Amino acid sequence: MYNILICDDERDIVNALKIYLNDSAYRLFEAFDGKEAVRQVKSNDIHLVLMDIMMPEMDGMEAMVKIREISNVPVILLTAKSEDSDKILGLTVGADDYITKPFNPVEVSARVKSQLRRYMQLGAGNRSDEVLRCGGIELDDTRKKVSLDGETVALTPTEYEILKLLMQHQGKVFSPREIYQKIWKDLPYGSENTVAVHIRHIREKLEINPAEPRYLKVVWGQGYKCEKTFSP
Amino acid sequence: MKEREREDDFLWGSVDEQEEAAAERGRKNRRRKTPYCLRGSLAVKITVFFVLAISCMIGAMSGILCLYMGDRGAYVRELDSVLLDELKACSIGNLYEVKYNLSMGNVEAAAELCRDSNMDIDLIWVDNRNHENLLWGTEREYDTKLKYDSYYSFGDMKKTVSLNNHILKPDVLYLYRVYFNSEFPENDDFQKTALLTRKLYGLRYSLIGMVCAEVLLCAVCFVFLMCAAGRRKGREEIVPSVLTGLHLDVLTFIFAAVGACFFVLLLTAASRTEGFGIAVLLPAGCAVMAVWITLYCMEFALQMKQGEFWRHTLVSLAFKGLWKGGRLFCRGVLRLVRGIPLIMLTLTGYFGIFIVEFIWVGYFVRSRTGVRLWLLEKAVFLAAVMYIALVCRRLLKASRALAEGQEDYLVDTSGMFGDFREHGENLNSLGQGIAKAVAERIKSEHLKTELISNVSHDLKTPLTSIINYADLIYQEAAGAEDIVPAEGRSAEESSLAETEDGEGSRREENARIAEYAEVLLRQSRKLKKLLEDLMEASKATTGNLDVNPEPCEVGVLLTQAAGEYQQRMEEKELALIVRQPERTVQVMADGRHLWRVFDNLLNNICKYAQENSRVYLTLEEKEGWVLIIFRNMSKFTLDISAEDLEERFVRGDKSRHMEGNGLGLSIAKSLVELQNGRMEVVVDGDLFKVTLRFPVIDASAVK
Repeated sequence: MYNILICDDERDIVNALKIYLNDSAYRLFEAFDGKEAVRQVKSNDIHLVLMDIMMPEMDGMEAMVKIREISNVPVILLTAKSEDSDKILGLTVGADDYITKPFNPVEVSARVKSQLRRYMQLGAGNRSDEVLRCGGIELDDTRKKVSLDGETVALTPTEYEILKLLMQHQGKVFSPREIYQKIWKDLPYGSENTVAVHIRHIREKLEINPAEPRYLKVVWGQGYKCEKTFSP
Repeated sequence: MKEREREDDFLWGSVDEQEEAAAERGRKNRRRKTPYCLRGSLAVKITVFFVLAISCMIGAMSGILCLYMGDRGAYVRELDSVLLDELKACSIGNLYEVKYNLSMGNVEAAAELCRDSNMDIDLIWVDNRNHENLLWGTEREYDTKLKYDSYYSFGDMKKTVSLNNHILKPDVLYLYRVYFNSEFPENDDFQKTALLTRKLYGLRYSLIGMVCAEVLLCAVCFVFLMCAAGRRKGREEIVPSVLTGLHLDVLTFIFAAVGACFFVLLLTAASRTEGFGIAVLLPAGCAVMAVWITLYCMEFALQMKQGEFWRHTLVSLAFKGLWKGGRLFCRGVLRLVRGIPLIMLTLTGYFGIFIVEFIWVGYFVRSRTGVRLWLLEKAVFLAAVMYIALVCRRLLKASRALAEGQEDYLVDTSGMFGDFREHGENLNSLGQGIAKAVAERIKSEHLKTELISNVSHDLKTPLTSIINYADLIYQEAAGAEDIVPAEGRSAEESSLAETEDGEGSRREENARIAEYAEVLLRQSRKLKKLLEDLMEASKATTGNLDVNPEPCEVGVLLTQAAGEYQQRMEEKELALIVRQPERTVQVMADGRHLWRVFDNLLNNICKYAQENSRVYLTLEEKEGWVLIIFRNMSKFTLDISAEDLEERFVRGDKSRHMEGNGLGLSIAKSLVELQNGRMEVVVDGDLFKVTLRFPVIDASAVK
């Protein structure tokens, strides 16, 4: 049973979220401004916070800073502000994820699930050095297995090799040509297209929203990379 | 290669372009047909060269003969008198020999000289009474008009000779009467001279005609060669020759030097040759000179045709260098002067004038009062100049500060008067005005950004609820439909009165609610997309967007885009054909924004392209531009102009039965322009073509 705090000044949205997250595994708490949210986190054992940014009394950013002082719970910001600068600010202040309004309910529940799994499993930690990690993705090269937030994901051998290459060099940008040469061990002769298609498939399997990937980033005009994350 | 390109243009160009291109080609062909063939042929050129040389030679020869004949008076006198002059010149030698022999008393030898020739001589003594006494004569059996008289004295005589009872005296002039047989029966020099002279005399007018004709022919050949210079068979452009590498003035010098040497040589040779040798040597020399000059002119014409021939001359290069140096020098001096502060400059100027005047005063003003007055005037002048310079400096500082953007700078107008004061105050109010304007501008800019962000937020929050609740209704209704049988079963336990009819009507109701909710959901999602696009469009057009241009490999982006869209294209049965050059092509662009452009365009294609057709994505480099071209066949008739399509909210299908809001192209255009690119849309029948243009950046210059 996980405790989730939903915080938004719009009651309608809080209610809607409560309906979507209505699952026997979750117990839902609600708050309508930042102050209340901080209070709730203090008084209850909250496992995840879904919070709007623009709220009366105390806004989401401020509240999040306060929450971070007392707890390490995952915080998903839920906001109508879709500027890149807003996202970056939110993530640097300490948010774990960012969802823009109007949101897709399926996406919200997927992200909630993902954050919860990561948060809960990080403590358990069966971490061996054989396993490559990038955010919620784990690649176990000994067992040739890839999992996302603990759930095994089925990849084709080629997809697996590409993912492994990217995860072995996190942060480095590989051009489609390089990837082709490294995986197919051949010159592409114009078939770099295949790489792009494969990566699109990997993204569809590993990302909640393939158009806005969190881990497997597309660097347009240069190549692909696996985002470097600072896993604790 | 060119033809292929043209073919391509033909395929893809608009109807107008095609017609124009065809007409242009037709015109060219007609113009080209004959002269180009002739001008281009090397054989024709060489032949014309030969004709030029030969006609020049003949012309020169005729010219020389004409001159000769003219000199001899052939155009004003009778044949006989001309002939007589020629014979006279020819007979002088013989006459002398006869005279010598007579003075020696060798009458026989003298007679011998005239025996086998067409010449006969009578020696006549004219006495005091003007009576002619024949002393000696050669036999003559003909009567002739060809005769002349000339007087000679014998000079000193070594012997006493008596002829026909007359003793020859040394200091008396004797008359020699020379006769020529006009039949010229004997084969001697006179016969030859007479023959030639008669022939030339007969030809004297033909020769003039000949000269004119040859000059004309030469001119025609020359003009043709000028036209033909640089033309080759099968080439449209001007083909440079071997000599084109040389600067024109160097070439001119070489040609002139060689020509001059040859000319001097020719003259020297001509002065040493006599008679008809000249008539051959001079024309030959003329022909060579003509060929030489023509060659030079051809090269000159070639360089003229290539254009900018002046730039290729050494003189112009030197001139350019000098010009550059001079300009640099002037600039340096100017900078130096500008570097001196205003006060120093004024003082320097003042003392310059002072010294000049001092010298002048020292020379011409003798009175003491005059000098004193002058000094006083100079002191007052100095004070005035210094005051003006100081005020000017203050004003200058103020305007400089204004120009640099310090709007709050204030000029100290105390101590200024008149126009200076007014100017200072004007500057102050100008500064305040600018400061106000800038502040307002910043505020409004800020407001605009705020507005976009806030409106977007205020619209999105209610929209979120609408979408979510519509979704919830839909799920409930649709879910209930499925659950109905189960519910029905549970209801059966409580009330068995529940009839089949009631159950059916409830199911029907649920289905209807689900349908309505679905419409709500679909429309609100559309609203969401519209809102997002609107925000983006407004940000892109106002430039309220971070753009981080960096070298971006368009080829890679193309590949990535193709990969992203492969599946969607396949679903629509569209074949995506990507064409790109072997070498990497880079542009300065922000990858994310460029992808957004690609995304919009490819999205459009997926929506509006005819199923089962091909979509071309081409990357090429042309004249300093990188061209990215999207081409597809439209599903609907595009009865709308390209300009209109780029406008906001305009869509290709007027009936608007497709999803979409008509912002895609507008956003793409704005984004491209934000990255210093250009976007062109061309509609040609069903062909829809979007061209993105970015300036090429040198791939090697960027690491």
